[in-house]
Parts: sequence; C-alpha cells; structure tokens
Amino acid sequence: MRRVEMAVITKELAGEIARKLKAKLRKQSRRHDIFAVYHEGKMVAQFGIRRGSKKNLGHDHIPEQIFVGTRDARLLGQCPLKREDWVKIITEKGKV
Amino acid sequence: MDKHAIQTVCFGEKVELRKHESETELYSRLKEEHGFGWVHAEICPAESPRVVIKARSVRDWDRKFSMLIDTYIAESVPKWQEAVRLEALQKDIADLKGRCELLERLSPILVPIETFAPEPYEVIKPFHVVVRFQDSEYIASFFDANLSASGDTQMEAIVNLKDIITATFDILTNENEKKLGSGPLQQKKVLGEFICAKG
Repeated sequence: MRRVEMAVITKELAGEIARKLKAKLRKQSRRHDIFAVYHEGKMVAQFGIRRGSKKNLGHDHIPEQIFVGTRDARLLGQCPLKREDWVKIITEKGKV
Repeated sequence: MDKHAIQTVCFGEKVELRKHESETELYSRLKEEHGFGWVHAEICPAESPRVVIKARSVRDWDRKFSMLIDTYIAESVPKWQEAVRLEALQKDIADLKGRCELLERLSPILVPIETFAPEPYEVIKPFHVVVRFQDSEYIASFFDANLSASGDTQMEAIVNLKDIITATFDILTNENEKKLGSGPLQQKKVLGEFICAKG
C-alpha cells in the first residue's frame, strides 16, 4: 500500500505566495525564476519557482526560504495570512 | 438363488435383484430393505433383467458422515491454519517492505558539492547539502546559506539546488549590502566563502 502524496506547496501556490509578498522577479536561471521580497527598501528574502508547466510541481522548499513553517506558507498563499503578518513574523525572527 | 441376482455382500448384507425390476424400483426397494440411509448400487446394463453387480447400504450414515466430516476437518484445518499463517506472514512482509522503503526515502542523505560545472562558478571549498524526502518530493538544502530546492528525484533536487545557489550568488553579489536584510546578507557571506565566479 502506497500513500498517494502531494506536495503541500505547489507551483500554483508558490506563485500566489510570490504575488502576496509582492515579490519581484530578479533572475531567470536555467531551472528557476528567482523572486526577491523587499521590505522598506531591503531585500529580506528570496526564493526560486521551478520552471515547468505542471501546476502541482512541488515547492515545499519555499517555507524555509521565507522563514516560515509549511502551514504559514500555505496560509500565505491561500489568503488568511497577510503580507503584514508575514513581515511581523520574520521581524520577530530577526530576519529583517 | 436366481441366476440374474448376484448377491453382493456389503456390510454383511445381501442384495437380490428381482426379475423385470426397473432401476428405479430396485433403488426404492434397496432403500426400503436397507432401512434409512443411502444405498449405492451399480447395475450391469448388459443383462436382462438387470443384474446388481455391486450394492452396499449405508445404514449408519449419520455416524459415517460425522466421521467423514471429522476426517475432513482433521486434514483440512491444519492446511487452512497454515494458509492463514502464510497469508498473514506475506502481509507482514509486504508491510515491512513498505516501511523499509519509506524509511529509506525519509532518511536524509548528505551529498558533497565539489563542482558547479558546466556553470561558470568554482567551488572554493567543498560543502555538503542535505537531501531529504518530504511529502511527495525531495528537498535539497544548503542549510548554512538557507537555500533549498525541490525535485522529483534526489538528483533533480541537487541539480535544482545548484541552480538556486548560483542564481542567488549572482543576485546577491550585485546587490549593495546595505540593501540586504539579515537573511540575504547572511546568504551572501556564506556563499562568498564557498563559491566564486570563474574568471
């Protein structure tokens, strides 16, 4: 019996997170679009979104890149968590 | 004794066939004569009137049926138990195999990074990245630099991480340190220790 698993953060959700954080596309490498998140003129985080047409392409590495847990990253992409909330979280973690 | 009636002794009883007796009548009579039970008889079709060549009655069929069931159970139950035990063992083995596979996938592995070829970057000193299985994918992480990448396979995750490392290195190298938050600043410093651009 094999459990059918799926990445928590899909490419679609990763795109939503980028949009929500108002991330800017900084570079297009061979395999990723690299987005950077700015706060008060400073780059505070950056992450890569994989190239590929599949919407469910796994991006479970993104939570670490933006200094939050998987749950918060998902909430960020799905709306309940706002950009301001995220900034507050990473400020408390000393990442700003 | 009638020449057409061959006596057959079975369980100590004699059976005689009457002249012009049909098979059905014979069976009925045998059943009646031999009491409650099952009568088995074989009739020779070549003779006319027919001749009983074998006959036997089963008077105490209930006892014999019980014995038969007992014999069947005695022979079959151990086989069933063995089959059930084997089936349970097969299930356990399949379960353990699945768990082993899962553990193998879940166990993080350390992978040394010694080159970025063919990309134009050099490794100043080799470093290790951790590859782990999470949900349905592999995540490769260079924890010191807080850089991670996902992939469908371990190899893909590592290749993707290398891509992220070099891309991040490029971005951060060209960025003024005053415009970097603590996270990216740390990334820049760590990456500067391990990689540099060729030429």
